[in-house]
Amino acid sequence: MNTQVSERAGFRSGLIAFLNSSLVAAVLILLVIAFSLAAPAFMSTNNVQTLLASVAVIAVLSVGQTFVIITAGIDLSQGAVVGLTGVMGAGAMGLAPGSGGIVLGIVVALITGTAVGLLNGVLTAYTRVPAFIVTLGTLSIMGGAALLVTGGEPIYMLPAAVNSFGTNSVGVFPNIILVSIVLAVMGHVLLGRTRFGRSVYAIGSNPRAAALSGLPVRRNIVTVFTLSGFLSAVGGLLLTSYVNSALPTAGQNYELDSIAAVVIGGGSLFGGQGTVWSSMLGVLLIGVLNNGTDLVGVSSYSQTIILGCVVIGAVFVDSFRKRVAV
Amino acid sequence: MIGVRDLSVRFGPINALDSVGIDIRPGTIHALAGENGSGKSTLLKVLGGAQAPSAGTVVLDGQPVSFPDPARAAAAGVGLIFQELSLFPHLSGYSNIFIGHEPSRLGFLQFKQLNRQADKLVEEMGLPRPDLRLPVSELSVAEQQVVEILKCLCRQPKIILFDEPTASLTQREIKPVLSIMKRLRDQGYTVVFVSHYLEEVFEVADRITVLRDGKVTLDDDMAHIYREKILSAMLGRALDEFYPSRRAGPLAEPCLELENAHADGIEPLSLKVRKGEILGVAGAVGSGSRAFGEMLGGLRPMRGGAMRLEGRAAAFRNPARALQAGVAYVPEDRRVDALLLDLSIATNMSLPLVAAPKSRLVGAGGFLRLGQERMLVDEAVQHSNVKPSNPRLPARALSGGNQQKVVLGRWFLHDRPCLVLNNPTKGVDVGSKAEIYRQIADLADSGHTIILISNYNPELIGTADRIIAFREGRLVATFEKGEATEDALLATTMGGDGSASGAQEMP
Amino acid sequence: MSGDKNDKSKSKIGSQAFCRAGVGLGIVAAAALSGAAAQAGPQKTIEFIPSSNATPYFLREYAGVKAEAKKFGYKTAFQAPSVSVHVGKQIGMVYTAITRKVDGIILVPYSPTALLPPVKKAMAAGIPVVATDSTLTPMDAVTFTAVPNKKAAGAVANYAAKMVDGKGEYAIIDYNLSTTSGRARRDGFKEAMAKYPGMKFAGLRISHSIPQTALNEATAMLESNPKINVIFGANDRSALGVAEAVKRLHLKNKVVVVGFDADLGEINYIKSGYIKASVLQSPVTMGKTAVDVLHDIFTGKTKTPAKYLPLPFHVVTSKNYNDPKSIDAIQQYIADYKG
Repeated sequence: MNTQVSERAGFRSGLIAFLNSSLVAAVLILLVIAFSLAAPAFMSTNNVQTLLASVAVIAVLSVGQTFVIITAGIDLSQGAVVGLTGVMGAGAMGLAPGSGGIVLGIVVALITGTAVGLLNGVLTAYTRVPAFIVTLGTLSIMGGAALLVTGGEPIYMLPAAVNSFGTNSVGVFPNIILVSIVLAVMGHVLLGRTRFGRSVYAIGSNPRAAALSGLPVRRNIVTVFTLSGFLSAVGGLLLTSYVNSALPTAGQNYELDSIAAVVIGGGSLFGGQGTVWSSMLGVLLIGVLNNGTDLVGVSSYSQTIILGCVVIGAVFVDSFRKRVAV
Repeated sequence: MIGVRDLSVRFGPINALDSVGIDIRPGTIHALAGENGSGKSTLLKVLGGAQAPSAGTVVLDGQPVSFPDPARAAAAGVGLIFQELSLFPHLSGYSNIFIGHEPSRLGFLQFKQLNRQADKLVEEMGLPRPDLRLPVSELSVAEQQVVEILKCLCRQPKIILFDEPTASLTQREIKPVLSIMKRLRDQGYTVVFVSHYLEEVFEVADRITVLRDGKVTLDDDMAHIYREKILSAMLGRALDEFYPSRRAGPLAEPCLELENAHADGIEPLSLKVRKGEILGVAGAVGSGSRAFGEMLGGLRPMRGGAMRLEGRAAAFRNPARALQAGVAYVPEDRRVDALLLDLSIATNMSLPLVAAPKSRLVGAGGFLRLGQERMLVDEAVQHSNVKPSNPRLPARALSGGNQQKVVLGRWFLHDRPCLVLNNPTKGVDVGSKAEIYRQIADLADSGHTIILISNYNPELIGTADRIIAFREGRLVATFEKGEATEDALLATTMGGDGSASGAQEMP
Repeated sequence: MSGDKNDKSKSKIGSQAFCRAGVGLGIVAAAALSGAAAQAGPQKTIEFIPSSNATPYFLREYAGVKAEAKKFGYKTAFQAPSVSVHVGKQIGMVYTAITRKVDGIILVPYSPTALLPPVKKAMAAGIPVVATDSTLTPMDAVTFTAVPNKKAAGAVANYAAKMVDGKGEYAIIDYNLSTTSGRARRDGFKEAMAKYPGMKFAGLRISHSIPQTALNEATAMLESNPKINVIFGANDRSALGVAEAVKRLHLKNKVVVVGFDADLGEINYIKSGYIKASVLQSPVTMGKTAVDVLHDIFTGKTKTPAKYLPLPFHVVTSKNYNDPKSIDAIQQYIADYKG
């Protein structure tokens, strides 16, 4: 009896501690409850599928963006890479029939994205050009390359399997969000439990101290950007399969959503702060807000205003928060 | 005359100052001393209007006054010079001096008049003359200090308050600042200053007030004061042993050997450092003492000659290589170069060990052994006496002294045979200083080679087995244990008579 | 001292969590008020989902939708991505409309294939969908109402070719090549031009419906190729930029600009002669037609509506813009236009 009471008290204080340490989670839960009350259809299988599918691409991008932002960098080229790898992948799928073509397309897209990430990383780590400028440059270059490759036209002729992957679900989970979840879990483990992850935090917090502690700072920065490029390519493929076509401009502004998600989750643009898990909460928050406001009939004009307020509010509130240090 | 009566300042439940009463006599230099957090800076800020008291009053010429802000204090003749200089780096010295007080005619700035006024002040005070036309960011810290003093003087104060005026200066730059303070006193100003360094207190102060935990523990004329009296008033206990005694001396085997090694900023030098030896490295800023440390630590590439570490040839391209071979470099500015301020004490401490190849904290696939890390860090935090001792706290939350313990603690976790320490006690309070000296001695006792670079000669004399001195990039003298005196070291490092008593000229 | 700070920040955390939650709930509560009404009663709701929420053409089409819906007593709703390239968002909006159980959807699909799965799902859920302006692939998936874009673009191509006596080079500034309308206008224009052996194709650029982009692209083309004497701006935003370019380069008398659609800026350019002609669709009629189709389905008047309902188009030129017929056509774009 006594132990039960203390257990319950322990659970309650544990819950309070969790909500305190993760305000985003608290707000997310409240929003879910509120939207379910305002629109009963919010929690329906169909709607949850819609919601999850709509955030799958941003989720994958946010995993990469989390790593980059923790090193005090930023990857503005993500959206352009999504567009470029989408059309490169879709184009390559047409070169061979059947599943061979699909595999070829995936490989081409992933190589393209990884190469762009590598370029971002090398330029950021080995020149004095800041990441913001490097990726702003590649954003423009890759955006142009995508239009050049396709002549501005979308690619519609995709193997049927691609779209059926993009539109089908396992239970309440669309296939594409499952890919995101797997990658997010891997990213979370990589960041939180490996030497590489620890280096990412150290470099973002103080690159000089990291170097004096014996870390290969530049090499790790290259790896982080390469990872972001690779994940952007995955995002490009997921988007292609979801929208059943590859548009050269399909990824436009996606980088802004992924940055917003990381920042809402508590990542600091000054580096050294953030986790994949909390970035995913940021992604979900954006998704729930968009979907929920849609559902209760808030106009798309107001939605962007609400999202902007949430981003600023999150960072404002966060500046008072006592963090658990890594 | 300025003073305070029953003054208290509370930050929440903490009493930064607790019923403090002091009098500062006009025309004297009054020192405020105490450990970090003792309340000495808070007291100075109350006097200067930068901190409102919770209770009690400030008394100026017998009248209770209240200064809601520094501007009001300045109007009453009290000028406050902050520890962090508050100059605008892109503006010229002249502009900085008169900012907010520009004499103007019809709203136009009278630059010529303004500059003449400043020049007159410099001359009257007999101050060293920085080029006031340059942006102050191009001046040295000491010159910026002069600008800061001029800025204060042009507001015609009677009382000048200095918050740690020498904290960011090198030894060579301290002297002029101290003499400015004396000159100000001789011109009839009242000077109050906060200091960490007993030497300068003895040199310039007429009277001292020591604070501890917000209370006055000593308030007397310097004529009645001796060193131990101040230290015990600061620490609240007798100071039996400030510099540690060694349990073991240096061993016979050499750890580090240099033959005609040289790099940018250091001329060729040859040297053997034994295991278990603390080698003190003296020299003013720019003398090559720091460059020497950076060469050993892999931050400054060797341009020629040979280096051997434990008998193996070594030349380090970068700090990672130096670490791998066995040399760890602990930089001077721990906040800028050593700490991950937002990350936890634990991450800070284990970082070099985590980064090391074949680390015992890293398993297959690069996965960290988090349990083992926690255990090792707990142990290291206890051993280094870091307070507060919660390893999950961010390093930012620690005092300067405890931050330095964390930085040094890294090398208990990641054991390297040779440690290069660059001014490890700079900006550290007295209590932590003693603990850091103890740690250094312990490391040497356990067979580590310590290269202790310091601009503070007394600590070299107190801790080192041998002291080498640099001047203008050259190793100019070596002092064996017991040979060095403060005078001799100063003379050697400053130039002039380098072969003072006990000094041994290098061939 | 540090203990004190901790205490403060702790109490702050509590109150901030509360504040933040408060803001969130406020949003939802406000939203719920407007949303609750939409679901009440047997009144039917028609949702209009164009590909962008800031295109004047679609806002006029929505005016038609609203006017016609009001006649029949239906409610209307409007959702669209803020950036038209966010086709993923448009897909999500159709799915959300299904979840909200609206009674009919009027769609301007940004991509003919991307919107196919959600549209199929809507129809399976018994929600009729009408595509307007652009359609889906395959074409017979839904009822589609639009001007015959190809034919309309061809009409204006003929007008331009005749003005330059069938000799010269022509360029196209298209708004995108993702929508079926964007591609049909390009194809229609080129096919018509192919009948004039003296006319050579000089190239196509994309404006993404941004006048500034159209201006830049047109300027670059005109400067690099002085032989160009015809430029087609394939929608209002594109034509606007092209006219601006011609004006800045002082090529009013050398280059024939023809456009598609109209807004006040474009009309002014037609009046001042910088745009020689523009094909006008009928956005209001388009919206009304779509609602009529849905009304017929709701009332059971028809089970299988026609797959394609062509709408009339009208070529307004710098010569005929004051004809009553032209004024009527312009009023489809600018409600209070008087000529």
